[in-house]
Order: sequence, then structure tokens, then C-alpha cells
Amino acid sequence: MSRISRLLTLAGGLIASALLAAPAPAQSGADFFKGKTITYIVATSPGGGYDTYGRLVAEYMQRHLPGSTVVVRNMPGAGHMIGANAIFAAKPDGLTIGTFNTGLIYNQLIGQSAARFDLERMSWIGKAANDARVITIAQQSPIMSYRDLAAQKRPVNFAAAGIGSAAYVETVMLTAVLKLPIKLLTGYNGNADMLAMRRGEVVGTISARSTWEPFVRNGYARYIAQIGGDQTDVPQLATLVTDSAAKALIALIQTQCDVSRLTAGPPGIPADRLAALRSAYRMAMEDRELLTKTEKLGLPIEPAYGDTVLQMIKGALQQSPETVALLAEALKKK
Amino acid sequence: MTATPAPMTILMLAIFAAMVGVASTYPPEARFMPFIVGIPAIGLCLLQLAIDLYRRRVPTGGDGDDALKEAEDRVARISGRRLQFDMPSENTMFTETAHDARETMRRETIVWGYFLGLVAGILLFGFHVTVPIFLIAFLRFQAKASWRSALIYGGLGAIVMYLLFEKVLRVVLHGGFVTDFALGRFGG
Amino acid sequence: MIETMFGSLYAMLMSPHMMGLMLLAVAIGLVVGVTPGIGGRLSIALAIPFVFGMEMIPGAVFLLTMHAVNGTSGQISSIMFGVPGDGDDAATTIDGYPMAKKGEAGRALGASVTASGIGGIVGAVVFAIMIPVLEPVVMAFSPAEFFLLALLGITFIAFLAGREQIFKGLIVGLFGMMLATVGTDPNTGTPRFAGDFLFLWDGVSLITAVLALFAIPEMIALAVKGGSISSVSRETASYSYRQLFEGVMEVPRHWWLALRTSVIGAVVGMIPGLGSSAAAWFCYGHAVQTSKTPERFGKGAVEGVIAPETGSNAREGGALLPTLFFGIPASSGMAVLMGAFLILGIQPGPTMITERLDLVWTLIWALVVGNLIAVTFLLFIMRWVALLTFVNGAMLVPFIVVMAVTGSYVSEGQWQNLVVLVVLSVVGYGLLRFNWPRAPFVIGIVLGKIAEESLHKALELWGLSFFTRPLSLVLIGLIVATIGYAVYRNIKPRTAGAQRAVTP
Repeated sequence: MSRISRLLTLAGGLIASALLAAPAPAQSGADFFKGKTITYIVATSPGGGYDTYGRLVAEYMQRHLPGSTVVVRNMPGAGHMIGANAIFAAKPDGLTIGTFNTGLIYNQLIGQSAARFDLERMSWIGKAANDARVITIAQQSPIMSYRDLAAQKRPVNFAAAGIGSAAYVETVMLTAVLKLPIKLLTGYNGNADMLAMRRGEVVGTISARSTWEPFVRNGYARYIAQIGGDQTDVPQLATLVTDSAAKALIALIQTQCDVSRLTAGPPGIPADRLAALRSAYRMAMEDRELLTKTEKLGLPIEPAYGDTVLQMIKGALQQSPETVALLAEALKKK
Repeated sequence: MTATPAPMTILMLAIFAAMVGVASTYPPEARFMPFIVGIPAIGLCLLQLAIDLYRRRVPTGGDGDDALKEAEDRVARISGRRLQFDMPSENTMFTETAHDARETMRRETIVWGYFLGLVAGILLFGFHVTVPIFLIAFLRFQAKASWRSALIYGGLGAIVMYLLFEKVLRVVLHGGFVTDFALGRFGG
Repeated sequence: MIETMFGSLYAMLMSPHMMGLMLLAVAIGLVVGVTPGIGGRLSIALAIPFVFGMEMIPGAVFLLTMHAVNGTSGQISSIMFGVPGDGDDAATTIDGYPMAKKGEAGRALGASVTASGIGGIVGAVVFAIMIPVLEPVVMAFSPAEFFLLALLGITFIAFLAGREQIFKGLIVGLFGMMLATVGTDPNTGTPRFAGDFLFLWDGVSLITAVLALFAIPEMIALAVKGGSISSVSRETASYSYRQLFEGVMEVPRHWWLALRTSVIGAVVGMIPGLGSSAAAWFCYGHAVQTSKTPERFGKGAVEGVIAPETGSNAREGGALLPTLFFGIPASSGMAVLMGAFLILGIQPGPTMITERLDLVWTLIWALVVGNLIAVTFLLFIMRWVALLTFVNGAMLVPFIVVMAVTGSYVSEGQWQNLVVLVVLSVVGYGLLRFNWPRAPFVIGIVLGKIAEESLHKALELWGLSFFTRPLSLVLIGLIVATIGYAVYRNIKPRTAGAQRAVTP
């Protein structure tokens, strides 16, 4: 045989064996997502904390899942339940994931019929931050510490969000369990509570630190107690109370804080694809560029991944009957 | 077709009655607003119904016609342009007698059919499938455009919409139940 | 102070980078704002990724200009096709679309675009003037005042309904308020008229309701009637540029009204909590109320176009105040904008006045210049746009209907909204067909919600005694006066209707 034909035969043979020996196209793991579009559902309307975190996560997960496209879809309404229901009911092929308020734990705990999801069974990808809860008091008020608050003779006005929302639930429960002299005014959505505080209509709120940080930094209010979070400038509420029921409640609320800005998918995503998603998420959370952006934004990133988050959720869902009763009371229509 | 305002009054009455009825099952604070709004509304509907029935035989309109013509003439003389002043309301189209009542009804049914078809199509088959079909069909059969025009304009519209929403804005449009199901089954 | 004022203007105009960005922002804002449902929060949220890399001042100017101009292009479809872009555009549609039907689209567009421009500028001026007195003014308005203001707005319904149709107008207005009760009740958390339909828990989507009541019925009617939007043929109606210019001149002709409504818009914008559509409707109601010939409204009165447009644009300037100086956004659009400002490193708060006054002035100028650019650009292309009203309606209808349906869907992201759209369209068509007024509906649905929420809060805070607060008493007085005036006007014998119709 001539040299050329020998080379050709060799080449042909190599190609043939490569073709025959290669495994069937691997649709597993990260390869599955090549050329596919992942829908990232955000349970709020555009703008705002969940949307911002969601879009960042979407963008950087896309970078770390080569070949994929991640598109954000806003599905607002019914206090994040519409979005959560949609994520839970989506086809578990790994192409739909999303974010919603961890506070939906409360809705699930009392078995609300509109909550058609089961957090325990969802495929957990990770969470991005801690978001402490704080008791915030207006700057003009004489209340300087938690003890001052507890010692008030007459009830002080606190602002809470709409009835049924997670913030409302927490405020009601804490007020009840800690027996605080608080008169709760409801219906303060968005930033209406800040305005009310400036006007002197309300004295304080119990809500997320991330929302109030700019306001407090401007000197309009102060924190007197905190649940969760790593900041050390405010005393932890757990250290200020002794009642065991109170401590249990605070622990439940702390889960909220610790699993903030979550990302999850419907139950039953194939293991390899879930692993790929989790890995992409981890890489996104550690991505230098993302961290620079979030630092500029003042958005904390304290991630946790996969099963760690699942365990935290599972733990939160085990609550004593007393706590569940308290929740039911808080979420009940008056 | 201005002769029977009563059907609308009856519809409004029915709506309010139904809503107030449902609202009465709610706790007192929740039903406060619906009652405060709904009960006076029911009263007003009944009053309006009475007026409608009383006024049924009395044809209105026409008292300003001559003065209007005069006004039009005056303005035309001054400005050199002729503007029309006799379009008092939004439903002029229904006072014109270009089509008689039966014809109007027929046309209404057809156009409503298109609209309902569009929405049903979107729900079942999604925006990107239904919109081009709707545009082309409407342009061809209602606007009496040629097949060429219909296909070009309709197609162009659908393409612009696809590009704008999918590519530029990256906003997800409803995929349609049937379409999603089919894609899921056969698209893998 | 003067130095900072004009210094920032100079710096802005002299920088090609800035001017380039503004032009881009105007272009994007206008294009995105044309389609109903999109625009507003979505466009800013989408722009945020691009903003990450920008420097503070150019970035802020870009976003603010885009946001301010977003509302401006909605009036095009409102006037031309009767398709409002959002709640406050509906006010422009009430008189704008009838003008288009009379063949006066060019005039309406000229007036409305100019009115927007003026409104935006006056709003910026009011903003600048109010800086020192901002805090006491905003603080004076509590839920009690909101409730009474909403009530005052609702009394405008009585005016809009007019003589013969006063009952129908009130019924429609009450229908709007009734629809506003759909959703989770603020008092008890009961989902009203919603059951397990989660998509209704937050109420009926305003944009869906407005499209269903105005856009869809008008389009269906147009298709049924045949012909073009303008009942008047092209030759009879005057040449486009001339008409356009006439329209532009209408604004100086009604300068006192334009000024008043701009101020009203700016002040309403400054007060967080009144909602974004309230400004346009207050201004519209004010125009009707103060006009000597209110019967013309709803049939193509140019004041009915000027008033809401100045108001809603002025509102943008006003809304900046609490957002920048308290860090409390005055509307949901502002909330997103504020988030973007934070990204850029701007810290809203009292320090803005002391440390970054130059930035504040730059933003004010951005509003002014941005408005001017938008207005100039629009006026150029209006000539061609207005011609569309003479095109065979059946050619336009399918596109507009698709636009409306898409807008309704996009605004909420839920397919169930399309069902709501259809159901309400039936009602809307019925209203149109049988000559019932529709404007009171929007007032009802917008203000009804605010009224109930504010009432709830006011009662929580003070119980029934909230009526006795000083500002509340003033507002109660206003309400009584308004109702009294309305009754007086309607009872007064009216002179020949034709004479009135001629008055421009």
C-alpha cells in the first residue's frame, strides 16, 4: 500500500473507532443545558430585592453553564405564592427554577389551601444571603433599648405590612409571644411605613434589616434588637428573652433570616442535572465579578448550597403544635 | 341603535346585585366597602331603569341641529375650512344609518368572534403561533386586503413582536397550553 | 447656589457623552413607552444591568430621562387609537380619541406633546422651588388626608357625568370602585371576589381594566363601523403640519390652565401614597370643573388633553423629591429608580441637599432637557403618525388589538388576565354601544382603592376623630364646595348647546 493510502486507512480506522466507541450523546449533567433555555422565575415584579438578586443569579449561572441561556420571568402576586406555586408545578426537567420569599414557610405550616407547594420536596439549589430581622424605632422616640420597649406603660404604634404577609405574621407572633406593648397598624406596604415613622404616626416596625439600612443610616431611626445576621452592632433578641416559647419562635424566624434569597426548583429534578445547577450556582456565588457588583450595591452575599439549605428548611418545618397554633392565629382572617 | 339603553342598566344592576350578594358572606369589616359602593349603586340602577322605561317612547336629539349648522357655516366663512361639529358622543357610529340594526349585529358578532378567537388561540397555542394567524386572517377577510398584503403586514408584525419580546426585552410570553404540551411530549 | 444651578446645566450640555446618553435614553424611553403594559418599572429594571458600569452622574441622568420620557409616548396610542398606555393615559384618551375621530388627531397630538413638555418643565421648576419647604409639606399628608383627597377626586365623577347622564356616570364610577374592592381586603385579609384565584388577590390589574374599557371596545366598534378612525375625510381635515402647529398653540392659549394643572401634578407627585394615576385624573377633573363649558369634555375638548398631560409629566418632577431627599420613593417606578441610584452609588437622604446639590440640579436639568428633546422629536414625527387616523381602520385594528392584548398580558405575567380582559371588554363594549360614560370608571377604580386603604389606616390611627384634623377640615370643605358647585351647575338652566360647541 502506498504511504498515503496507509495514512488514510489509519485515519479512517481511527475515526471509525472513535465514532463506534464513543458513548451515546451524554445528555447528563452540564451537557444537558447546552443550547437550552432555563427560566428563572422571580415571584415579584421587576425592581426590588428579589428581582435584583434573581437577575444577578440568573446572569452568572448562565456564565457557568456553558451553552445555556437563563431568562428571568417575573410572576408577581399573592405575596409570592403565585411564583412559588408556578415553580413547584413546573416540569422537573431542570429548565425551570426560581426564587421567592422564604416566609412562605409560614403559609405551608398552617396548611393554607392557596399554598400549593411543599418546600421540603423542592429541589434546593442554594441561597444567597442572610437577612436579619430588626426591631426599628423612630429616631424621635424616647425608646432606646429593648428593655425600654418592653417597659412601656401604654401600647405604642407599630407599622406592619399587609395582613397575611410574612412581615405581618412575624410582627404579630412576636408581639403575642413576647407580650410586647404594641398596637399593630396594618396595611403599610412598600415604604409607607418609613413615611409613617417620619410623620410620627408609628414608633417602630419589625422587618428586614436590608430594607431599613439606608433609612437608619440617614439617622431617621435606630435598631434596638436583631434576629439572625452577622452584624454585631445590635443585640440579638434571643439573648434578651428567657421564655422558651419565645426562643422557639425566634429560632423559627431565624431560619427565615438565614435562608434568604433562595433558589429552588420543582421536586424531582434528575440528580445529575440538579448537581450541575448547584455547581453553577456555587460558581456564580464565588464569581469575582458578581461579588464586586454586589459589594457596590451593598447586597450581602453569604451563600449556602444544596443539601445544607434543604436541612435548614426541613428543620424549620418541624414546629411544635403551639407554634403552629400561634401561626394559625396570626394568619387567620380577623 | 340608541333606542334601548335598558339592557345595559339591567346588566349593571345584575353585576352589582351579584357582587353585593357575594360580599355579604364576608366578615363585617371586609364587606363594608362593597356595601357602601354596591347598595347605592343598586339604588341608582333602579332609578335609571325607571327613567329608561319611562323614556322609551320619547325620541331625544335634534334640538340643536339647526344652530349647529349655522355655527358650522360661520366658522367655515371665517377660517376658510369646514369642520364638523355634529359628533356629540363616542357612539356616533351607531347613530349613523349606514347599516341597519341586523347588519350591525352581524358585523359585531364577526368582530367579537375574531377577538375571542385571538384570546382563546393565545391561551391554547401561545402568542407566537396565534398572532400571525390572527393578523393575516383579519387583514385578509375583514380588511379585504390582498393575500400578499395580508401575509406581508401580518408576517412582519408577528416577526417584530417575536424579536422584540424574545430577543430584545427578554420577556417571556405565554406559550399556550396545547403548544407547551406538544413541545413537552415531542420536543424533549 | 446660582452657580451650582447653572454650572450643572452647562456641564451637562457641554458634554457629548452626556448628551449622547440623553438622546439614547429618550429614544429608548419613547419606543418602550408606546406599547401599553410595558415601560415603567420593566424598562428601568431591564436597563439596570447596563447601568452597572456607568459613572454616577451619567448613569443617573440616563435612567431618569428614560423614566421621565416613558410616559410621554403613551399618549400617542391614547389619542390615535384610543389605546391608553396606562391608567393616566386613559384621561388623555377621553378627549384625545374623540378629537382623532373628528379628524383633529394632529391638533390633539400637538397639544398633548407640548403639554407634556411644559408639564415636565414646570414640574422640575416646582421641584426646585419646593426643596426648602419639602419636609413640612410631605409630612402634612397622612392617611386621613389621602382618604379625603381620594373622596374629593371621586366627587369629580359627578362633574364628568354631566347633566343627562348623571346617574349613569355615577353607576359607572361606582362600578370602578366596586372592582377596586376585588382582592385582599386591607382590614381583615379576606380575599374578596377571588377565592382561590390567586391572580386576583392583588386586585384587578389597572392596565387590563383600562384596556378592556377603552381600547378593545373602540377597536371592535371601529371594525364594525368600517371606515377610518377619523370620520372626517383627509381632504376636509386640514393639512397635517398646520393642524399640528395649531395644537401646539393651544397650550399657550390655555396657559393658565396648563400652569395650574402642572402645579397640581407636581404636588400630587410629591406626596407618596396617592398612586401614579391620581395626578392625571385630578388635573382632568380640575379642568372640567373650572371650565365654563364642561359639556364639551368627553367629546373632543382640547383642555381635556392638555390638563392630564401636564399633570402626569409634572408628577415625575414632583416624585423625585421624597425619593431623593428621604429615600422614600413616591411611586413604584420611583422605587425601581431608587434601587438603580443605589447601584450607582447615590445615597438618597438628607445629605443630598448638603453634599450633592450639584447632582440634584443635574437631575432637575435632565428632566427639563430630556422633556425638550422628547417633545421636539415627537413633534417632528407626529405629522406622519397622525396620518394613520385616515388609514382604513380595518387595517389598523388587528395590530392595535394585538398590542392591547399583549400589553395586558405583559403587565401581570398571568394568562388569567386575558380572561379578565375579555370579561371586562364585554362590559366596556356595552357601555360604548349604549352611550354610557366610561371616564368615571377609571376614577372609581384608581381612587376607590386608595380611599379604602387610607380610610382603614386613618381609623386605625385616630378612630373617627380623624375628621377633625386641620388639613382634613380644609379638604372636607373643598369636597362640600365641589359637590355644591356641581349641583348648582347642573340645576342652572342651560343656554343653547350649539353656541357652546363652537367655543374652542
